[in-house]
Amino acid sequence: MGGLQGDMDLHGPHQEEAMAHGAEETRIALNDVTERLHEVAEQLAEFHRRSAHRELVIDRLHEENLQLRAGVRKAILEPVISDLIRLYDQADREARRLRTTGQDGRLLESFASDVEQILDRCGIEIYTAKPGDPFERDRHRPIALVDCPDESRHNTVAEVTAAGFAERETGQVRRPLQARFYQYTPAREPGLSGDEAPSL
Amino acid sequence: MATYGIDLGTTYSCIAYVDISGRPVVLKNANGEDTTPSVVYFESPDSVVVGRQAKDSAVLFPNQVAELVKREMGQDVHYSFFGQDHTPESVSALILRELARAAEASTGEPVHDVVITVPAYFGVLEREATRKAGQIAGLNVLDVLAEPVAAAINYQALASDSGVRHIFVYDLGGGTFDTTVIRIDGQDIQVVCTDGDHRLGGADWDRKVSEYLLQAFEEQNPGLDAGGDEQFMQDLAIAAEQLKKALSTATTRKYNARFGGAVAQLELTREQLESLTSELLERTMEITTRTIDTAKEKGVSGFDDVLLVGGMSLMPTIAQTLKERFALQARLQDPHLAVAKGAALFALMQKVKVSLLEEAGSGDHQQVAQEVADQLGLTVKQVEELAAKKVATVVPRAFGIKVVDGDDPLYRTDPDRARHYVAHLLTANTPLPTETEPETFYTVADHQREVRLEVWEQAGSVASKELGHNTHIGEGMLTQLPPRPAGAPFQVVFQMTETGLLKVRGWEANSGREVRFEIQIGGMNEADVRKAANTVARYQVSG
Repeated sequence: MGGLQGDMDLHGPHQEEAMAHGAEETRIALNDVTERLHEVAEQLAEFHRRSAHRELVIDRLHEENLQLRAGVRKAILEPVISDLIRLYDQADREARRLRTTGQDGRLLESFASDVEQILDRCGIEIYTAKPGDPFERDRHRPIALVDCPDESRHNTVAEVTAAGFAERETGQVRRPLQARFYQYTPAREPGLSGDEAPSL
Repeated sequence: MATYGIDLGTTYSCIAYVDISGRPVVLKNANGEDTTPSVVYFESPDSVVVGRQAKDSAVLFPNQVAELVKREMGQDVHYSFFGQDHTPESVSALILRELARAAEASTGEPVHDVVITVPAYFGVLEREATRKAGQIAGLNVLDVLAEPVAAAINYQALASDSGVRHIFVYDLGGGTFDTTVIRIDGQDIQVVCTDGDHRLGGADWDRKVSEYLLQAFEEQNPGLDAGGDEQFMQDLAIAAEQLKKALSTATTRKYNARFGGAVAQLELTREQLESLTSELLERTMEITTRTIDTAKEKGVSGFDDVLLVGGMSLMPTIAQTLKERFALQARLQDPHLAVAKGAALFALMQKVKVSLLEEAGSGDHQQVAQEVADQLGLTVKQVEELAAKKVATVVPRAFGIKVVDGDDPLYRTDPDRARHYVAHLLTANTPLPTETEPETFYTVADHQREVRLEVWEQAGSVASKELGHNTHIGEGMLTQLPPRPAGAPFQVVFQMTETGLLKVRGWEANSGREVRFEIQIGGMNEADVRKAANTVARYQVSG
């Protein structure tokens, strides 16, 4: 009977209430689990998003590292190359000066030549220009103007005062050639003072 | 899409962006240099060159080269190249285009959204001209930012939340010197005062050293005209700059000067350098004293941070003198590029702000804020707080109405011939946007039926009532006033927007008669900007 009683209890109102209560608890528990799962999913997504971002940063840093490694030697050499170019300028200029005064400039020329070779080993090539060569804005730096009555020589090289240097690999100019340039100045007619203009 | 910060300088310019790891990075130009000379060479009617080559070309083609245009920004100045009219804005636009082009070549991404920096002393007119230069270049100018504020952002001086803070910025660049005091109060950033000498900079220090070297060479080798040789002088100028830089870390440096077969082994110590240039340093300290005094008058008694900006500030004597004279403990970090980098960081913040405004309520702004937070290693909340900060623009000069002097005896008999002066309604250094309190004025004649409201702007560096010290910039008529005895009151109010649009309202309370008119403070109008943009777009630009 007890069992029957028990069975009866099982199907009675109390039992329904207990079942409903149980279902509610299960629903709450499920909601809680769903919510937590959602949080975990969100955190996982956030973790993946941050990881992906980190990967990007690492890739970029790695790329930069390679670039830096490649550039470190160049960066270290920069001031040395500047000083070598200056040394070349000075030796070359003095050798030319000695030549023009009729003295033997070969010793200084040889030093300039040595420096040129050292620069060459650093990947730096020397270039020059002849009087009459036209101005090239990417390779020439005018340092002064020389009056010239010949219009066809306007803005052409009058005299190179320092050679130019460029990177062999990229062609990028390291130090532009420095020169004086001709500037066309019409010859004045004899007898005219400075302020007078010829009348037409 | 990335955002960029541009330091558009008088002699050199620079562009930076914040890379994926959150660091502000300066992008090199076509020659592999961090900074580009702000020089434009009009090579042909449809081709311009910007930068070092343009600077070099000035010797041969002085009439085809534009430089130092920043000094004329916003003024009614015109240049002509190959028959094409240009303004400081359009020339600046060409510089901006080259910077953007080089940046695109470096990052592989188009440059669109930018923040451009301007000196703190730039007024509304110059700031708007700078903004328009960006528009002419085809860029979207997110904002125009004061250079010292940009530097402060780079030093992360704005990130702290500790109440009201004051920052002193000492900026000694190649050609200009500026001192600025910035106040940060919660979300508001404001320039308290600024001073400077726009003809004082590193070039003056180089000149002093160069003169010393020449004198020392000539003393050892009298009779040689080394000073008349351009090549020798150019070498000497380069050596002077190198010696000056080297003496920031070393205490002594040698230089072998050679000319015409003669040699002089010259030596310069840090002490000698400081002694040679002490007068220049003193000039910066006088301006520093003046700035500190002005700040005091405005209630700023101390500074939470002192920042050194500009390549010249690397000289140890500067930090040392600031400490000895004013007990200022200066911070020095990347002074050459701090402005461009700070502008890049600010541009990123502005992007969040724009996104917040445009996408309010949607999830998109959160995404942008999240991306920026990731980049900068901050939380979204911190990024949103930074984006919410407002950098106030101040009206640089006073504005007022021309009135008749009631104390002049002629006022009673012949008011037209009586002394006139300017009654300022809007004082200099008022943060924008602003609206003045109604100011009451009075009619001068019996049965006066109309009043001409003439608006005048302060012309000199100090506000003055004298008409000669002010400039007439616009006017409007308050008409159909009821006939009344002289001395009938009417009111005037000035309202000015952040972009310098001055709105004037005058009214007579009893009759309800009113006049409203607007004056755009100088600068180009939209049609001019479009026309200039079309002109600038036609050029092929290279560096």
